[in-house]
This record gives sequence, structure tokens and C-alpha cells, in this order.
Amino acid sequence: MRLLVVEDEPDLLHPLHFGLSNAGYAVDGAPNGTEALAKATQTTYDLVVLDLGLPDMDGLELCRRVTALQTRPRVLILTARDGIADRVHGLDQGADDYLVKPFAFPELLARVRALLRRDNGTAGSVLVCGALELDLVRHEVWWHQQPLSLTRKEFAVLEYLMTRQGAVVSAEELLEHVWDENADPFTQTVRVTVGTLRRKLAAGNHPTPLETVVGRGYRLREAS
Amino acid sequence: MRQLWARRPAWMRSIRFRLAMLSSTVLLFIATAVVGGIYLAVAHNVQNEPVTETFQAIEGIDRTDGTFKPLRRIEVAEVADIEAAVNAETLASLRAYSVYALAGLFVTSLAVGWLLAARALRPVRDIAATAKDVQAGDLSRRVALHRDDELGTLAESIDAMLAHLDEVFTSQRQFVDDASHELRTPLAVIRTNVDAVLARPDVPEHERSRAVAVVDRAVDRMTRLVEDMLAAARSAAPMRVQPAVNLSAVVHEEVEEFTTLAVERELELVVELDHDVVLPADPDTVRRVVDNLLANAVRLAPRGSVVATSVGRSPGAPWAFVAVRDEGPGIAPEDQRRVFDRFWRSDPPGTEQDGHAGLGLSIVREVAEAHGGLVRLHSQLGVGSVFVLWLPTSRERGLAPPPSGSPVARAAV
Repeated sequence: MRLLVVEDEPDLLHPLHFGLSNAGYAVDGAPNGTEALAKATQTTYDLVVLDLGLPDMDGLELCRRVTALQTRPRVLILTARDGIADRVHGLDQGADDYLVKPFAFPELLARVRALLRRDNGTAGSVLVCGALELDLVRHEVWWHQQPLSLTRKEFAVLEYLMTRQGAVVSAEELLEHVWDENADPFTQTVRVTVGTLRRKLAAGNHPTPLETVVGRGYRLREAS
Repeated sequence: MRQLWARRPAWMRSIRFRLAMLSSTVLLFIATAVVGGIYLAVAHNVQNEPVTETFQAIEGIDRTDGTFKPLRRIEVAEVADIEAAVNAETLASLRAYSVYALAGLFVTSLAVGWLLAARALRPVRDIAATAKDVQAGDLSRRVALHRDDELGTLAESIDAMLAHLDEVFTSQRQFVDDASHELRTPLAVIRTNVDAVLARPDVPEHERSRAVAVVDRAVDRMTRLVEDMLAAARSAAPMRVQPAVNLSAVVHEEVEEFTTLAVERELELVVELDHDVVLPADPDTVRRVVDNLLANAVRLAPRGSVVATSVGRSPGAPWAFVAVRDEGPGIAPEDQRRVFDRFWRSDPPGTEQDGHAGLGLSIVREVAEAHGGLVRLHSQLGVGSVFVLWLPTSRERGLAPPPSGSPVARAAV
């Protein structure tokens, strides 16, 4: 899942970036509103974590413009203003959730998970596809009751494919949602990661649920 | 008896009752004296004794035959005696009527006094009602009596006091809001770095040491912020005792304190003092204010420039000034009003702020105002700024404001 963190305080942006990346998300950072808007226009983000106190733009204005984009990312507002009127106003401007500083990082992670869950239509934190189970909180994957050891990227690719079960997902789409802005769009990294993921799934002699649709991309579906 | 008095009902304790009672009693005394005087004068000037000597007489008819036929037996007295007796009776009834009249007068005056006292005390009731509303938390209520009398003056004083309280309360709440907002950012920095980096076992060493440095900086920033906030809260508290302070001496000492820092930053500190400018103020507070002004100038002045401090009196007016002139970047006209606001910073957020929270100049303003003075900024972009702190040298209230111009020349272009 691809996240954009908009925060003007570098001392806060860095640990947010670090912590969210560690949690398996592809994270981009923006220190101001202009850069944030430019990035959100170019890239399809799944979620924007937005600090309202920006130097160059009103945070709520940015929130309004980001949620008006065709890609309509989820928006989680971070702010130091804790008045009820502030919260109501923020949510009315299109924000999906609201977190008051200082917040506990695990709470931020939980809210990010909850917001991303709204997109894939599951209620809990476990995604299921036939005999394949993916636990978003514990970062564990079970394949025919056997734990599967995946790298962070493999996990993220699988997570994205599981939220789009049955659909063909192109390499570009995977690159956009699973890799951050530092990924080179011309590398073979998507192909390589999907390849190792498929090998790991095939190791137990079960039919693989991950298939390649030649010329179009990849598809995950319940193995028959 | 005393117990009975102490347990009298509430209405008997009221000022209204006591006023009515007092006026009626005084009226009763006066009326009794007048009526008693009249009575005594009348009684003294007329004969008034009951008939003491009476005679028996027989009324009858003298017959032609010379005999006397008695008809009845009557009692007779002398005319003077009878007059006196009539007078005595008149006086007795006068006495009786006077007593009734006085009793009636007392009751009437009690009733009239009761009503009049209510009327006179109505403003007091209004004031009490307002006070009750204020106590319930509505500091915006005012008595607003608009009367030209003593109660009007009282109400005006109370309204002025409420306005002041309201102002202090609002600014205090604003301060708490601002302060909590300011504190949340470093708190969020600390919390996030601890949660997302430091609490994890598998973090690379350079990330860990970076997070430690960031937390360290955030704690420093919070410490300074809290210190500034406490100073600001103290400076906003009203001064009770204001001993005399020698402004010239304080400024001289403060400038010396900054010498080392100025040398480090290659600044030239110039001082120009009128000697023994003495005024009523709290020495520590004045010291802090001068310190803030100097710190501000030294922080913003470019290397190799001059920071000039002067102390003087306004000619012919009870005002003393401290002026600090720098050759810094100057402050844009649209920002000049806001520099004295709490938490206002000239540098945009996100830049290196060497930990200053933007409270220094707001403290200067608050102290100046608490001492009945004011602080002014004369600034021009690219030329420099002059901060002038005006303090009154007398304790009189309602002084004419100090001259509006800067008492020192701005730096040459």
C-alpha cells in the first residue's frame, strides 16, 4: 500500500516515514502543501497522512483538493488542534480520520490499517484467498496451514494482490502501490519480487494461486 | 434575648427592613417630641383641673304663697372650676388622639419606608444578580446601571473590574490554548521517535542515534518553552509591590551580560545611558524584559553590525525609555503589529529556530502593560529595527501617552 506523509516538521516526518516503511508500506514524504499536491496528482496513493499545520497552504484546503482528485486517496489528518469544532471541520472537509498530536505510533498504524481495510471490504485484519491467509497486524502469511516466510516487499505485493483478488494487476500498478518514489520504474524489481513470491507459494506442491497474464500483469485467485 | 435576636427571620436582617425601621423610629421620635411639646405648652397655659369643690343645691320654685317647692337636688360648682374641668377633658382626649396618631404615623412610615427602601436598593439587587451570573461563569455580563449617583459609580467600578477580569481570563485561556498547541508538536516528535524508532529492537544504529538526537532537541525545545511560559504567566500577574528600580543600572548590567555572546557573533554593543533613571517597577521583571529585548536583537543582527541600547527620559513627561536598535533584517509593516503576539516567529516554521518559542516579545509587551507602560517597534525592512520600551516614572494613573516617535535615530541606510 502506498502512503504519502505530509508533515512540515522534519523531526516528525522522518520517524513517521521510517516507522510506516518498517510496517511494510511504501511511503513518500512531502514537507509542504505544494509538493504534497504535486505528488498526489502524479501518483495513486492509497492513503495520505496529513499534518494540518503547513507553512505554505492551509491543511484543510489541501485535504479538500486531495480528496477531490480522481484517485480519491483516504486522508488521515494529524493535528495539534484538539477542539471538537476543529475535528468536525476536518472531517467535513473530506478527511476520513483524525488523530491529535501527540499520538501513539501503534494507534496511527491501527488507524492506517482500518482506513486501508475500507477499500478491500474486509472487516478484520486477516485477508483470505482460499488456503492463503494474510494477517495484516502480525505480518504473517499462512499457506495451507503452513507459515510462509516473506520479505517485506513480497508481503506488500501479496497484500495488494489479495485486496484485488481475481483482477489483473499490471506491473505498473504494483510498482505504484507497493514501491515508494525511490523505485526506478524501469527495473525488473516487480518481476523479480513476484517471481520469488510465486516460488515460495509453489514450494509446498500446492497449485499456485498467483498466475501471470501474459502482456497484462498478474492475477491472484483461489487455486482450483 | 440575644439568641432570639440572632435567630430573627431573614427579612428582619435585611437592609431594607432596617432602613424602614430606622427612618420610622426617627420620625416617631421627632413627631413625639413635637406633639409632646405642643401638649405640654397647651397644658401649661390653661387651667386644667378636675372640679374639686362642689356644692349641693336644690332647684325649686318659689310659690306665690312664699313657699318653696323643691323640684330636684343638683350639684353646682364655680364657673372657673368648670372651665378648668373642660380643659382637662380636652387635654385628655388630645393625649389619646396624639397617641393614636403617632401609632398610625409609625405604621404608615414603616410601610412607606419599606417601599422606598426597596426602590433605593433595586440597583444593589441588580448588582447582586449580575455578580451571581458572573459567578456562574458568564464573565461577559455587566451591571450597566447608567446612574449619576453613588450606586452608579459603584456599578461602573464593578463593570470596569469585570471587564479587566474578562480580559485577563480570555488572554489566559488563549495563552493556555496556544501553549498546549505549541507543546504538542515537540511531544509528538518525542512520542513518534520513541514509538517508531527507539522502541524497536531491529533498528540500524544510525537511525537510533538520529532519533536520540531528535528527541534530545525536542526535550530542549520543550524545556525552553515551559520556562518561557512560566515567565509569561508570572509577568502577566498584576504587580502588588513596585519598589524603585534604577533602569540605567539594570540596562548597564544586562548589556555586560551579552558581551561574550556579542563577541562570539562579531557584534558591536553600544550603550548610551542617562544616569539614574529611576522608576517604580519590579527589578527582576525589568531585568527579564531588557534581557528579552537584547536577546532578540543579538539573535537577529547580522555579523559585524551594531546593536545600540539607550536609556533616557522623555523631556517634560513622566516617561522613561529603553531603546534597543539593531541593524537586522527589519520587520515588514504587516508583521509589525504581530511581533508582540505570543508564539509569533519571524522565521517560517520548519527552519532552524534555535529553540526560541516566540514568547520573548510578548513577555516584554505584557510586562510593559502591567507597569502602565507600552512597547513600540519602529522598523524598516533592510535597515533595522528599534524596539522602545516606555515605562512611567510616576505612579499616577491616566498619564498622557509617551511621544509616538522613536527616541533614538534609526540606523543609517
